[in-house]
Amino acid sequence: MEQVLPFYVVCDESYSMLDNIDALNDGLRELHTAVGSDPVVADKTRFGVIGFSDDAEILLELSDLSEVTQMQGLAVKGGTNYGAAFKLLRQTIDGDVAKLKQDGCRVYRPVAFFLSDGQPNYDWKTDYDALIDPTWKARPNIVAFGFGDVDHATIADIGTFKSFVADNSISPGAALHEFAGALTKSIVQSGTNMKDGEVNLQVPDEVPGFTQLKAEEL
Amino acid sequence: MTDRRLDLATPAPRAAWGDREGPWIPDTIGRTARAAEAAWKPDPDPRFPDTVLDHGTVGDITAMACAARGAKHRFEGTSREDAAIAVEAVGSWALAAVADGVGSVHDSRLASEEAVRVFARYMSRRIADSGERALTQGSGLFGEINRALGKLTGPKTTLTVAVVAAHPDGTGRYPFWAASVGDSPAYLISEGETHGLLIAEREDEFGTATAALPNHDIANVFKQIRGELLPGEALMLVSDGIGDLMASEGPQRYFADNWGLVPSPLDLMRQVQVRSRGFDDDRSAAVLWAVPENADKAPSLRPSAAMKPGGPVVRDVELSAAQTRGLEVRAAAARGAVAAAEGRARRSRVSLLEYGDRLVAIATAPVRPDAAEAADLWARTFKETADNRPLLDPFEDWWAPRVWTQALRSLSEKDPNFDSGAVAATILCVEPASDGMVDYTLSHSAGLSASIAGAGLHRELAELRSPEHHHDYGEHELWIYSDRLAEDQTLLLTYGIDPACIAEADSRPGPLQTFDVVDRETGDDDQFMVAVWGAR
Repeated sequence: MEQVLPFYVVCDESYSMLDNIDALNDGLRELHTAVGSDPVVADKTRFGVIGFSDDAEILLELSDLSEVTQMQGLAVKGGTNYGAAFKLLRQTIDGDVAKLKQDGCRVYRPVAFFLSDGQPNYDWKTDYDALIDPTWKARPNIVAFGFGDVDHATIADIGTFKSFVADNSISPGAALHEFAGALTKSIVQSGTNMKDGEVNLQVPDEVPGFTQLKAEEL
Repeated sequence: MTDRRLDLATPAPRAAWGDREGPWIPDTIGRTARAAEAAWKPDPDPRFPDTVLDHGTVGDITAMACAARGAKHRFEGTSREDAAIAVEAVGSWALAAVADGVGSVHDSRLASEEAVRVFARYMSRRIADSGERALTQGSGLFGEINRALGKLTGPKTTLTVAVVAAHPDGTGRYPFWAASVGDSPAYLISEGETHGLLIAEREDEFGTATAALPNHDIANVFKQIRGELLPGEALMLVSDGIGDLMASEGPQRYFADNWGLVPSPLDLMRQVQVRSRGFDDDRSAAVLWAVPENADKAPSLRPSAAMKPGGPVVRDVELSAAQTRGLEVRAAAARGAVAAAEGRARRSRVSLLEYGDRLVAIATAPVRPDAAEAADLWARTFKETADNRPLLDPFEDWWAPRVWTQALRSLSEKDPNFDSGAVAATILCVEPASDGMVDYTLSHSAGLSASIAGAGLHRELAELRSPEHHHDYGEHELWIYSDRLAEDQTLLLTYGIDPACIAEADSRPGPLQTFDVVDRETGDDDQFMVAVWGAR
């Protein structure tokens, strides 16, 4: 019986990420160290990584980071298939939540950090709608980060909690490092603020190198 | 596709800290809860010590109420936000409450403490005025509590309360009333099973939002229930730190098995802190057992009429423990046998304060029965004086005597008849030195034990060495020692507790072992103890 807050990073591995993939992997390494040194966070967060290009694959199954000693890093591959990423994310969340519950865990709403640097070259709306379907109980809060040539409107559409785009104020590598830092902060702060609050997810409003896209008023 | 493996850092080994042996280690349900094993940082607000406990009987009812910081607040060094209380009213009713300060709002510890305090005051007044009929006026009572909490302007809390008749009705049953706002549930424990009485259904199974006080729509969130306890049954009120655990079979079994019969206060305090991975919220429980055969056993529950207006309520037991920047400390205060038999409030005081790198412990206890309020007044004045004196270098000779003299002066201004000789008082200031050693300046009056312990033995400081200063104020004397504590030594300050009980422990007593020492002490006087080591 445990209480668990699952975090997923869904990360673009298309060729255009080539120059920046090392910065991102460094960030993942630091994330691991930060979570591993905080027993409060380590005890109740789980972390998984999904990479996508022409297709999507699970790079790190939803894990207790303090028990992970090695993980598959990100590597550049082909195109940009958001739909495959969203579809796999929904499948993965369904499977993970079912398994956690079977183990007697209380599961908090999952959080997905989505990072992309380019335009999707496949249709993705159907899979996205399924991911945010309000009738699906385990739908994740999505924090979207755009980068490089990404279309701002697309990123704003994808983030259900917050959306950010790189503003070129710092180098792409440094910005990706900040992305990983924001992810770490979100995990640590949300992992220590899971109770009592009406808002559990704590994502910084300011991420160096990025500008937050304001949700359009209806 | 290139396959990359990221090699990751190995996590640091866990610190060895706290209760690590004997009957003092909290049980673990499921996998190791690493957060629960981590060292505790000091409580930032000394009015809210890590763990508090009320326990005693009134009529046929035995009640215990314990609130303890959860693993998260202990690891972070933030305050406990839960509160719990158990008192009696007019010798005929047991009152108990738990409250869970809402974590997303600032200073919510003030709201939970105020909620249980005003419940005890208002309810006992209603019972004194209208007897059992007070149990039919629950929504009016909660309206009053709601208004009182509104005056705090900000902090919010859940509140779950119960009142049980101390004597059986004509059918041998004990009528009770229980009520709540928010997600702190109430259970009936009967024949080895727990049954939910007031259970908050979460609307969003993935969320955590809860109703809380103050609330503008209290009629919609207020829930109450009336019933009767059979002899051998118990009512159990808990904050969601335990309530969330109760969603699973293992913990349900655990509490049903352990709290079906009255546990020892030590066991209740330990079981409140049962470890389960990811459950790091504050824990509080108030349990009321109908056990006629316990009737004559001490201690007696504290009467709610003895509560003073304002401020945190003085609980029967308070306990703090921490490891911080090269120092390790325990502090506890508890009622002695006379107070327990009479059912009066504890008069000894202990508080731990952090001033930068230094820890200051202030402890006082009345040495004469006529000095009922003196120890509290002295403790408060010491704290005010210390807060106002820049503690730039407390190891300068002047600091301790100056604080002491100034405190005495303001005491006589506050109360011209103040008799400083009626109180055993001490101020200890400690600071880490190199290699696990500790520099200390200790000032103390007559009447308490100040000793150095090591290798299972202890000696009074006065037998070991001469004080740096000795002042004779006429009505009382002051001794000041400034020295360095070696890494294998313990500095012990006790009143009403035999220092040998701590000195003879196999290793540093953890928090629960410290409470065990205090709980075993059967002397007449209200007690305190402070123990300090260098951090290992």
